Amino acid sequence: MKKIGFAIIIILVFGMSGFSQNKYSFAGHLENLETLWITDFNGSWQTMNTINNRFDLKWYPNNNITAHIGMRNIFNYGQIIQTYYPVYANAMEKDFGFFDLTENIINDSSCFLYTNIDRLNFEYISGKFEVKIGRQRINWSTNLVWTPNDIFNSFSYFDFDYIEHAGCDAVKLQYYTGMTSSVQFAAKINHNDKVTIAGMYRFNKWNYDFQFLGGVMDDDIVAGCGFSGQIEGAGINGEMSYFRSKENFMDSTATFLVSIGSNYTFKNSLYIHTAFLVNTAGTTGSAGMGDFFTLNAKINAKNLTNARCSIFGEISYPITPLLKLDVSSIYNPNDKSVFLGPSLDLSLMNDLGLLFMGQLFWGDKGTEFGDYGKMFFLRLKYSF
Amino acid sequence: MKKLNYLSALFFLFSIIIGTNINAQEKLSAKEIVVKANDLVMGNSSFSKMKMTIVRPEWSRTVSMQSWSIGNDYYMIYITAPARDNGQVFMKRLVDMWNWMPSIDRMIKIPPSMMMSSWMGSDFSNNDLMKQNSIIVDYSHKIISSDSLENYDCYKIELIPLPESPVVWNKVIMWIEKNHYYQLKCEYYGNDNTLVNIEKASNVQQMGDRKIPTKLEIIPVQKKGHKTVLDIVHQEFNVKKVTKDFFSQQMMKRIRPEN
Repeated sequence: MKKIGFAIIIILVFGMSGFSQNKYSFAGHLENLETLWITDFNGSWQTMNTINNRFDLKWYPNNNITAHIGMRNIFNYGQIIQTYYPVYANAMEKDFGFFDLTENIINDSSCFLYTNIDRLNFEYISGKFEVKIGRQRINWSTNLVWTPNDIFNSFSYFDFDYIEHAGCDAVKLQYYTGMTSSVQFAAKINHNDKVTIAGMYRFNKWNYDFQFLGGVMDDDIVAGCGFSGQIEGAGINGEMSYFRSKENFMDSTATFLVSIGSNYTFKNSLYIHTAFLVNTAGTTGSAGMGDFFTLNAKINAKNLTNARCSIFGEISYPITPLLKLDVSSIYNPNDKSVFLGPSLDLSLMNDLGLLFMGQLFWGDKGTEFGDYGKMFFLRLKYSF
Repeated sequence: MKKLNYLSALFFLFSIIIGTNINAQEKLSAKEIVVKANDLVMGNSSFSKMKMTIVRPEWSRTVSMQSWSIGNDYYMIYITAPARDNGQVFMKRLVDMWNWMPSIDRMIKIPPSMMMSSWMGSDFSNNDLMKQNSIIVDYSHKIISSDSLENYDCYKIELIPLPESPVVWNKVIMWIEKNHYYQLKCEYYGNDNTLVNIEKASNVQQMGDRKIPTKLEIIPVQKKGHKTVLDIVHQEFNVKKVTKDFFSQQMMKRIRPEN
């Protein structure tokens, strides 16, 4: 049951039901991503090539039911696979859901092919009530960089090539109390049988969206709130979460995470974006999180970074209508390490894009960004 | 966040889809004619499918969408192309705006500043045109002559900004068809009375209960080979299901494009 056969059954159900016009939608992308990783400019430069295909198939048998399957097929080869074999391959193959819907087809020291189902769910809608069961993304965040309210699915900011992000195995109930307000309850179970269960109320007041949430995330009681609105045309978002051990509630100290972000778009399309994160459990010393490959596995809403304080800035501008420059940066003021992410995004055709990107890290050994070196990416992506 | 840059162009589109079936024969003032031409989409619920193409000497890009609206205050826009943005939904309720991104299951509240930038450098400019009423309240109107435009008998109306009104144009000349009030052409003049933009409407077709121009072109006069073309593929007016309650966050997630 825990294996991919489960998914194949679902695909057969999709297949046998017979697609008719407007009863389904099919979309996805196919891309080629070249990675160059330099940890030491005088040392060896490592490369990897990734061919990545994603598709999302949605089936609408009637107005009340939607089924969704989202699948990724990823083929990697190159020196990075070889040098970090089997660490990299194993990290990629790890499925954090209750069901293991990641299948390693080839796991070799020279190449690596795996397939991952990150959406597999059924949704039933009756009036203002909705229930969604299965692998899904439950997104409770308001911020764009650090998301302490995102207690079901956290993500790494550096994972730029996976904007859809992983799903979780969960049940979600939602009731719309108004045009712009709703109550949600969700429960998920992960690969080591830990449960996250929580409720959230979201509403719009004074032209702001507000949300309040509470529940249990793995071993912690969690309570949080967030908002999203505008000041003088600028977008402003904030979210805060409070975590405290449910087993040793009295004997433990709470962890607070507070994140605030703001963005503004000028008339000439120049976009600026800043964000801050304070994590009371973070260290004021060196905030390294270990190797880059397993970063995603270490991140959750309580542990977005190891740092006490993080500062983010981003600026983007369309140099021409088809070529966009974007530079983002994260600074850890305590251990003085820095991330800089410049990118150039070129639209080649309506559905074909070329992205050149750098992820450049500076810092002393053991600091938040000190051990990652410099990465460069070239991606050709076709969307369909 | 680049996808959000659609917004300015999209919202602007609503303010320029002009046409009417009002068959008034009475003698109208210049201002009343402009109001009639402008009134068509105001206050009416509508559903439309459209395609916007940005044409440049060396390239062109197209975005396709479906939209549901009540006047200028309530919009729902579903992007159907390009593929990478397919399924994104934008909604406006009075001053609040949201973007639903189904690929990441995320509802984003959109700040006003994000509407101000253009999509892919489209020729749609915001400024006074973003404000639906501007063309009525910020100008004085005068019929300067009658003119024939592609076999349509038109009023030629001159619009001069009122003192201290917050508009960028020095002068606007409009051609409004006499019987049906199609706004068939518009010339926008900048400083020194130089012609900056020409807006042309053509291809009058029956859409729902009325005939309207279904092709709209914005041509920046000083930029050779540049234009933005809007094609209305389908439009219905006074759509029953499109009430204020239609514009909900639940509908943003549920809505699907019509065939």
